[in-house]
Amino acid sequence: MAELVLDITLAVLLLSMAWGALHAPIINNGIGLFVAFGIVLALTWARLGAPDLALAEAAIGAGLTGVLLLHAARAIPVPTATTVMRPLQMMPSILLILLVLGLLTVITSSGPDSVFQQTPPLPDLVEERIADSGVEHPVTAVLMNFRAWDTLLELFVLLLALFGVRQLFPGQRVITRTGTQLSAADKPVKVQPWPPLMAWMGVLAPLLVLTGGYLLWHGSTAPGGAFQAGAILAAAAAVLHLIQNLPALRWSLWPVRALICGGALLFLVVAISTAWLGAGWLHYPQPGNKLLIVTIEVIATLSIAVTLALLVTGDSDDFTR
Amino acid sequence: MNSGAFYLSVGMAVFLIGLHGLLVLQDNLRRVIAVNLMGAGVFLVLVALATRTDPVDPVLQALAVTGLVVAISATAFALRLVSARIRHQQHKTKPDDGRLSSHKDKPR
Amino acid sequence: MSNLATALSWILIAAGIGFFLTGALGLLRFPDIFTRLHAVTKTDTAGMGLLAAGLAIQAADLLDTLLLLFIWFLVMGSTSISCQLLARYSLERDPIDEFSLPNEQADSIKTGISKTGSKSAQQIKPTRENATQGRGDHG
Repeated sequence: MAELVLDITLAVLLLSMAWGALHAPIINNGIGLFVAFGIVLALTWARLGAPDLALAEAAIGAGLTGVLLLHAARAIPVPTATTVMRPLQMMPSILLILLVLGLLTVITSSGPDSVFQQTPPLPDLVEERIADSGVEHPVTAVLMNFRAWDTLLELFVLLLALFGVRQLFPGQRVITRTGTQLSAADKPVKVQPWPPLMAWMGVLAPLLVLTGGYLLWHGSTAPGGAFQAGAILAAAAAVLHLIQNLPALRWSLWPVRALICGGALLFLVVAISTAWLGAGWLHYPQPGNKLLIVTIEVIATLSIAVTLALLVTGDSDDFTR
Repeated sequence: MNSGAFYLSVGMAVFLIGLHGLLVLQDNLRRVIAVNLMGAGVFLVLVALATRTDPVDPVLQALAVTGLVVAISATAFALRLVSARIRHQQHKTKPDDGRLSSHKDKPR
Repeated sequence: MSNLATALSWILIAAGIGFFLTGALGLLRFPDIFTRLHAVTKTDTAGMGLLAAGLAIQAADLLDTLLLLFIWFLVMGSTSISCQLLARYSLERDPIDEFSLPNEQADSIKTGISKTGSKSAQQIKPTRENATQGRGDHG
């Protein structure tokens, strides 16, 4: 009974905040509702027994995505384009949603071969082979060993997103006699950070780094892992950027480039060497698999942290040159 | 209806709300939010299906974690494109911003 | 766990939830951003403390209790700092116009501001040189 109340409350919150995020007349309210949606979604993951996903969602889905959205919303000029639509305009779309939802619910939840009667074979396979994988936590084992191919590609996707973002300057460039310069309208406004804010971020940033390190180390036996730790370290970078205490992150500095590309490249090197010299593509050698996984996780965490920090806080070169 | 099936429907509903937003809204930023909602709906479906087995299915949860990181990468790129487009359109309506003075018409 | 402890824990949790609901009601019903911030942050920190106390009674061991206290401390700090930041930002964007207020309120605001020496309310107008900054509603 209590579980039913919890489920219904979570569902009502999720659906109403999703609707509000799209249809709130003011864009900042919509973004706020989307961040709140992310936090309630993190609660839902905890309810459904997915703590790693809850950690990742709270850090990445609610936190970092909210920062990205708020930053992008600054570009929208005054007055904001109203997105308030009359209910009658939305009626065909709403009816379509309800119809499709009804059909899907009926199809998937009832009948003898409904999706809930099927028993997937994979969890038992994971259960059998987890002792050989090098880590004890099943989700980390799947991410870092059994489905390492997915994780490798994911690191490359992060890299590709960064390359795409680097093609576009964060503001309008104007041509001057000596080259190009950020136009006056897009130069960031320098504000002296408020001293209590600096003090509080001075408390939060070391705690975030500590939490990131803890999650990374604990990922082998408990919920945690490279992505959660990397996201929390990126959040620490965003926090420091807020008080203008972050050392300049520039693609032109070679340590930054080394950290960003290091994760994906290390993983690729491991994959190729296991393919040529070992048992097969991403088949880790048996006595050394824990060490290999931990090494890959540490480098991947740093790589993810710097990439996400660069995506969220922006390349400092773009604002000063 | 067990809780897994319930969250399966909730996930499908969130996906469809996102799809509705993508179809109906014109503001690009809202469309990016709508695509993120579609992604969240898909993850809800995945994790609801993960509750079918007794120790929860770790493969589907790992897929959802992977998908979350891919989603934020795509969102970061999409938002940079959206704000670049908005600034480009504004810049086109202000043509005398930052011209080199040597390009201005000299009095004859 | 004894019945008394469980009952006390649930009373504290219910009181905490009551505070949260009151804060949400204030958020919805108050007219101005400052009054809303005041309602939400005060009730949220009080509710969080009661919730943490109630959960600490039900906690498994000392480590969990300490973690709950630590969470309460972090939430309190972050909420207060965020509230102050939002209030200062709103004050800068539109300073309180003393001419639109009844006389005694205007006088108290003028003397209050000059006493604390903060010039921000009277001198900073929204002169953003970049019209491209998003001006979402601050309410």
